[in-house]
Amino acid sequence: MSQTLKSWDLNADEDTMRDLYLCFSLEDRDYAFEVRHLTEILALPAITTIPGTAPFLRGVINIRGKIIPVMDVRLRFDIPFKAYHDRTCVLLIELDGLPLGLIVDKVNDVVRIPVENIDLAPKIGESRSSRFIYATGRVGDTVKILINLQRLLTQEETHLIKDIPGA
Amino acid sequence: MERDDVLEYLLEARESLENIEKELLHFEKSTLDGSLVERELLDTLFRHFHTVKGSSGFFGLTAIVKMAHAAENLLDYLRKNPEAQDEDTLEFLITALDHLNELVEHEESSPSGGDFFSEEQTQFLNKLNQKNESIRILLQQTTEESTNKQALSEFGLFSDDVNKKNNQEEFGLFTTDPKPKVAEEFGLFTTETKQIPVEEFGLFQKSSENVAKETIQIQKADDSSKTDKKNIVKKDIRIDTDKLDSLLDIVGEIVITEPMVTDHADIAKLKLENFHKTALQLKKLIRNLQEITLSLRMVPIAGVFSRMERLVRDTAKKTGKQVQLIISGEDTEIDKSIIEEMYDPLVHIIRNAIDHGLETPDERKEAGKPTQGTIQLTATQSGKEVWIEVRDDGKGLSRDRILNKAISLGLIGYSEAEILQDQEVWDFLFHPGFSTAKEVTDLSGRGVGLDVVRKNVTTLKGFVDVFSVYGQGTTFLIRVPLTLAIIEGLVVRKSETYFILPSVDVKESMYVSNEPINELYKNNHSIQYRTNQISIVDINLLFGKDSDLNEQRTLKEKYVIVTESHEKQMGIVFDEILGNQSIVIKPISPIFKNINGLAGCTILGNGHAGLILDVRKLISQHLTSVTT
Repeated sequence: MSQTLKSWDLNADEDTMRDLYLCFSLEDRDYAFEVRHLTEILALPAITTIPGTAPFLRGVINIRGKIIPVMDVRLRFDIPFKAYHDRTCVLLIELDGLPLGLIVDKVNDVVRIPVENIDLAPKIGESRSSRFIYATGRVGDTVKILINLQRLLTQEETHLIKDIPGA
Repeated sequence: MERDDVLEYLLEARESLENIEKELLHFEKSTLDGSLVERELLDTLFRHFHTVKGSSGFFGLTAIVKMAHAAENLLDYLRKNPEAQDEDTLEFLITALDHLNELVEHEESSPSGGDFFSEEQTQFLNKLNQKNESIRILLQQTTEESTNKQALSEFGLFSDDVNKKNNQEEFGLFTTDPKPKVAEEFGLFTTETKQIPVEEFGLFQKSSENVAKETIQIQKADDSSKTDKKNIVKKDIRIDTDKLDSLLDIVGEIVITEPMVTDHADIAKLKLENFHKTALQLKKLIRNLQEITLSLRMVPIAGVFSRMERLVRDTAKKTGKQVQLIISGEDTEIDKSIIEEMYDPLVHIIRNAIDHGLETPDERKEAGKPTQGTIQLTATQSGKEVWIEVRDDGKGLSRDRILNKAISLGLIGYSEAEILQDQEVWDFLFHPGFSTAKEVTDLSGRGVGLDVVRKNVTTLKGFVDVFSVYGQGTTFLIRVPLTLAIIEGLVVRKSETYFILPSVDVKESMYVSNEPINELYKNNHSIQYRTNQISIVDINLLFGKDSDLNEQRTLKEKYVIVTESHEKQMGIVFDEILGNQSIVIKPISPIFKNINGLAGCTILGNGHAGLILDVRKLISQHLTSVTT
């Protein structure tokens, strides 16, 4: 079930990685982020919840001896919680050296979205979940919502990360 | 990249400077007892300064070069005129060392092109150069004609302006040198061998062959005499801590996985005699592997201990007391990260011991003690702990004074004071804001008290205790774990989550079948424990949620773990106790902000991640929030 992308990730040079996006779905919407942030896709292992944290931080998982925090992207986007099922995936990403697992409903595919097909997201208000979205990408007839991974941990939170010594 | 090189070099320079400090303290000992310093010691010192000078030259750190050069000159005169040694020259050398340390530090934190950054430094350098100059003149007058000549040409080289020129030349030489990288590498690992000859040529380019030859010969002789020693030192290897950490991770994994395999449920009922034999063998090997990998992080405590010599010297000087430091057990090994944390507490305790503990020579004479006070610094390994003891033979703690202070601070009442054990009285010293010093001195009483020492040691899961006999001395005993990477812990479960309570914090665990809960008010429960009522909490409550216990009248088939920290007890309720085991501590991701009650994570035999509770923090947070 788990598929390692790391091997070709490392060998691929910058040019071949460019414009590649990993698409996943939440509800009926398609989202995508740059493939270069991705390290691995896994079936959801047992989650150890951590008491006293934000609800969207579901806890930690054990990936071959490494303890990695996982975030439920639905909850982060204010979409109601949905029970995990056997297609629920964890996308392991690395943000500024910090590993993070993203829990998503379904992983679709990797698509190439050239720059000319990307339109910056229209600024319609400053809703809580729109800050994660920076653009839309046209792929054939469909539109993928491109997310800014850095913003998943909001400024306030990333700021706090820096305050922790040794982090 | 270049900056990295400089930083790496500065680390090396620090090591050289540490060596210099060590040698200088030897130097001082011989100076003080009136004997002449051995030639070998002077040579060693000279070589260290020389190394610092030479390598710093590569990186254009002119200030360091100048300072080291002046010190080197002074040493060179001493080599020729050992009778000129006195406290004055020693003081010059020590101050030069301090300035060098300062310069290196400055270069690390705020690179400024390598020049002096304070007036004090330039002034000192001038003074040192003047001193050298005066010695030179003295030498000229006393030495014979022939040697005089030789000395002259040499001194000419070292005198200020020529020196500058030479320095420039040196740099020119090295920057255009096609192999600076190679030379530098030698500098990094063997301290001199390669460098010195190269530099010597630069320095002596214009001087007579004679002198150059002689110097080189000296250097060579030194090198050969030193090789034996160096071979011992060179057994070390620098390892990237990240690599070490991942090795520890993997070994930790193996340790955890081993019982998962050998005691696997699938084979539990099979009779597998041979399998169990080999499994046992594997178990042993894995234990060895674990021990060795853990020992990789272990370093002898000698590094920190030897830094205390300087401290004792300076503090003794400032207080006008005579102090002898006796170090033993310095080869006791302890986790590197712990060693680094031990430095500040030790500095504090030793300063205290000299400043408050030891008497002045006159007082000591009156008390019938030798005028020189003794401080014994000892490290011993005791099971999974290292005990570090600082014992002074000073006047000891005064029970009355401490009690008076405690009463005046409102910590205890008069009536209680009488019945307290000595041990309990000494413990007041660790109370924040508690200082027995009559007045604030330069050395202590700057608001940093023993409470900070205890706090530092407690963070390391260690303990500090004090023992004292009035009139005979005081002993501070610090006990710290050998390593922070592995702890003994009690694994428990609360619904789906596994928690680990460090064994040191657990006082007792009990199965409670139908104990009534007293609800004082919402979220605040207690049960009868022995003769006391103790607060019991649900783990949810500790993390800011409502307690599960609110709906319950009794503890039905629950386990209560009684934990203790600073004599405060708290019961935590769990569903199941899985047992004691060694836990490999892994850090928890910084993404989880504001979590104070967790000390880390681990991976349990069943593959689940377990959460290690920081019991001390939980207790102190929870119990203060209850009382206020």
